[in-house]
Amino acid sequence: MGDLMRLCGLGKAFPQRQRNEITILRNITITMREGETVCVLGESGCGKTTLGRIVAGVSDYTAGSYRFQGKEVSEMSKEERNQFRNSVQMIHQNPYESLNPTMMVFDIIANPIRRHHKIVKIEELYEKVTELLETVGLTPVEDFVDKYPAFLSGGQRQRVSIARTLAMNPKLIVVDEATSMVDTSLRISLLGTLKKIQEETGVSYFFITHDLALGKYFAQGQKAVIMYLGQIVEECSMERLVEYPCHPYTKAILSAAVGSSDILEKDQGKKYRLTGTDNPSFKNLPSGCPLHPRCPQKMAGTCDVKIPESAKAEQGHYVRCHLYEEERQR
Amino acid sequence: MSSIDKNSFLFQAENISISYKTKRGLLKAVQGASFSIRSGEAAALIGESGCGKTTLASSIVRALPNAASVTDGRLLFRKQDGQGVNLLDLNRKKMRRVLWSDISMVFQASQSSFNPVRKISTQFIDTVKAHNPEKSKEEILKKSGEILEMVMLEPDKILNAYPHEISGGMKQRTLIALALLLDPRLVILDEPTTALDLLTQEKILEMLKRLKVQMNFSLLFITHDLGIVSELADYVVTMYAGRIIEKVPVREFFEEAAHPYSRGLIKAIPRLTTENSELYSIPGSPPDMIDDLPGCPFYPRCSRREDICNKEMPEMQCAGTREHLCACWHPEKGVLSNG
Amino acid sequence: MDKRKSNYTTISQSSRMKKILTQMKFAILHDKAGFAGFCILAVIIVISFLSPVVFPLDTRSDPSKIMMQPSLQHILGTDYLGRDIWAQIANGGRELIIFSLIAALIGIILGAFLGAFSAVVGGIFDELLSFFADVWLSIPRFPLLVVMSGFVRLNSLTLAIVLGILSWAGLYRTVRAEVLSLKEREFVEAAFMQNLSKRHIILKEIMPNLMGFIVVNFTLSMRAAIYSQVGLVFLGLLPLEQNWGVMINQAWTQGAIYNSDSLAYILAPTIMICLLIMSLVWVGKALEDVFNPALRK
Repeated sequence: MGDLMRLCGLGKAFPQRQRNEITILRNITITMREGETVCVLGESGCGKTTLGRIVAGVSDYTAGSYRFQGKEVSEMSKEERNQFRNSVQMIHQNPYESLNPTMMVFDIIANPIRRHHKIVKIEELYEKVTELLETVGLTPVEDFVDKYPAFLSGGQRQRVSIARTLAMNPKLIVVDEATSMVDTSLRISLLGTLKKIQEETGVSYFFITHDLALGKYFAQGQKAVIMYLGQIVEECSMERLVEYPCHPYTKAILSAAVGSSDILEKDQGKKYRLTGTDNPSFKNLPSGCPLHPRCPQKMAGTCDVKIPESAKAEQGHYVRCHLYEEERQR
Repeated sequence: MSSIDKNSFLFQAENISISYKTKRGLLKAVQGASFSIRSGEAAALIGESGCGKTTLASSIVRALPNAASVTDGRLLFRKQDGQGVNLLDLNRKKMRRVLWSDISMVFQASQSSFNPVRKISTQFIDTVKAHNPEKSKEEILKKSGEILEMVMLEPDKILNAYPHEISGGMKQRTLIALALLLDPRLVILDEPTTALDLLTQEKILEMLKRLKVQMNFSLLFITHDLGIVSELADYVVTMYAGRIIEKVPVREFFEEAAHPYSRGLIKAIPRLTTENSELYSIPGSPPDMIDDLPGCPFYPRCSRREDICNKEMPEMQCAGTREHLCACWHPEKGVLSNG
Repeated sequence: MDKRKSNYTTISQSSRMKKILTQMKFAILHDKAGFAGFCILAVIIVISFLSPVVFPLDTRSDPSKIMMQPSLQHILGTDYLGRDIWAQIANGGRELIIFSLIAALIGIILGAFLGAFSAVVGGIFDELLSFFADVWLSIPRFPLLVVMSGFVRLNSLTLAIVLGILSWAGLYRTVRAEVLSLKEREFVEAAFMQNLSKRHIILKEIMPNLMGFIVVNFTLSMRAAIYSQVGLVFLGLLPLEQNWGVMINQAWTQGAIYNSDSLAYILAPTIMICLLIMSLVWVGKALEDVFNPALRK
């Protein structure tokens, strides 16, 4: 019983017109088992959506290896590819675009059932659709089956999206900021539904978000991965991330997430800030560690020259930062 | 028309109702909304999407779409000379003078409001010239530079750039700078930090706090993110289905919100330091605003409802301190358990 | 929509008839202009197709009744040969409607399908066809028709076919652009991820979103075909058969505009053509709304 999914040194570069290619992802290594959740945290523009699309099989990767259930994705045969497609699904960020506006909810969910379970009789279809709608909490079912997406709210549309992916019985679902366009008061309800589904079916989630608190809620007890400018800078369990962040970038976003006023949060640490107003961009990738232009703990001569290796801070907790490399060598 | 309280209210909305004409009927987007903002105060207008907050704010600067119109109420604004005026009474010319020099607004997702084929500097110049045509280009650019520095951007870099050359966070800050260009006394921001990541969001919030004190303006910001409410607001106005249901100072809001909906909102945000078991989401979804129901619009989702809630819309009453008003027949009392 | 609630058989296939009826009802009633358009169009069609029986054409010429004013006997007066104008009007719409329909159909089948196919398939096929379409579009259509009519014996039917063929390039371009943009939308990507067949994606995902667009283009094609016909007849380049365009030509050449008695002669066909085109456009708009589910209650 091996890993469900294993990314090893994965990279993605886009060819550019005038210059050489731009590398969006570099050296991504993540392993995932069945029933696990991996939470990918990072700011907008760090490449997490690109990574999500590669994992979901929508985009290709240009370097490294991506093995799904032991088979290398880029080398799969047509049949294997089909199976891969069926087993990996994605929930998009924008609920206003991910549903066909001219199709009723019933058909949106029934289509994959028709295709993959070969069910044609309408009674059976209806049963299955009802089951799925109930799983995602769209009840009473009669109120939703013959509606068009235009009459549903953002949160309801996302639920239809979830039901649709469930119809494929996937093993892995890539959740790409599925709640960012949904009202804050409805987000945890949506995530709660996803968690319930994981309990019931053992599906794995590749959960992408920029909201730390949301990630903590969803991926409790699971793995968290922090990305910056296309690279993984820290990897550990969710709890450790909040209690003992190591990488300066992680510390900065944790500090920003906690907030400065004491109304919402009780614990107040000192603020940890990144320096400079530099705008990270893939076009001007810094040499060495990608954070060095903004890092408050930068060590000149090392950080701007060498890319840090992955160092083990604790069991299961890895950091790519020279600060921790140094300590290890001592 | 100077019936404003002597209590240094800068802006007061009185009983505003706004309706949209749609193909399915008349949609009452806002009903009987009243609230006020003092000088130097930051008010947060919160609620779910579709509750009418953007509609209400847009009506202040006459940015309502054609299908919408204000059907009732007054928007009172105290001008520089101390005189109060109903913004709805002003003709277009007078309103244009008020716009931007007294009241300015940054719309939601307005990063596309820059003209993509012209440099950013032109937008600054055009804005000032529309109000003060006698100012020279150099003067304007100098003032723009000052404001841009205040929002922590490099003036040369920004003014000479085209919109696609700067990032989303920088565009947002530029828009805020643009809104502050003429020293307005009321700045309205619609979802100022949605679609921005945490670090940029933090920067912008701090900047707004600082500027508010430095330039002495009042702030009305719309959001559904309670995180930035705690950072930035002095006063919280909660809206639901087109009605204002609670008005309370921020600290009291988080500690002792009275309306069940406000409490529901607070309990629904995941925070880094709270345990998951305390999170709770409000069941159901907001009503379709074409149906005009007599009672409280929150009735179907409220855990404290009773018959009267379905029959009559509750009035704004005092709940707790004098500054805390809530429209509910059975407001919640007691401190919110905050984890 | 609420009618199709509880019983599951009312949702999908089994109630196709009911669905179509509801949609038709919506199309006709929901918009004032659309309703007016449907009524006018219905009246025109009924009169045009019942006319051989109810208002037969006067084929004999009666010199004693040349260019008479409207009277009880002849509601719109008589033409230059003494024939009843109203009968001509009643009979005159048939050809225009049928042949513009044929022209639009040919145009749509050629242009829209080629456009959609080209957009989906892409590659060399797409590039070549687009280039060809661009070249085609640079040919001026009307002069070409005029020249053609000198060589080929055009009647209404052949004209309709020729017009249809000539119009493919415009529709090709617009439909191709529309399909290209539809292809990129997220729900199509989602369909790909569900491994739905290419056939399904084209027919069930992309087509329904295209229908409104095609319907509007269809009515516009009909309009263009009518204008072309009328124009050619007016210029005297088509053999004279019985339609409104012919009437305008005859009225003009026979000097009806100089005679205040026979104003009806030249106004009537002109007004009828305008009514036909207006109603077509309004109906097109109303039908476009039918395909946009967001507009239903």
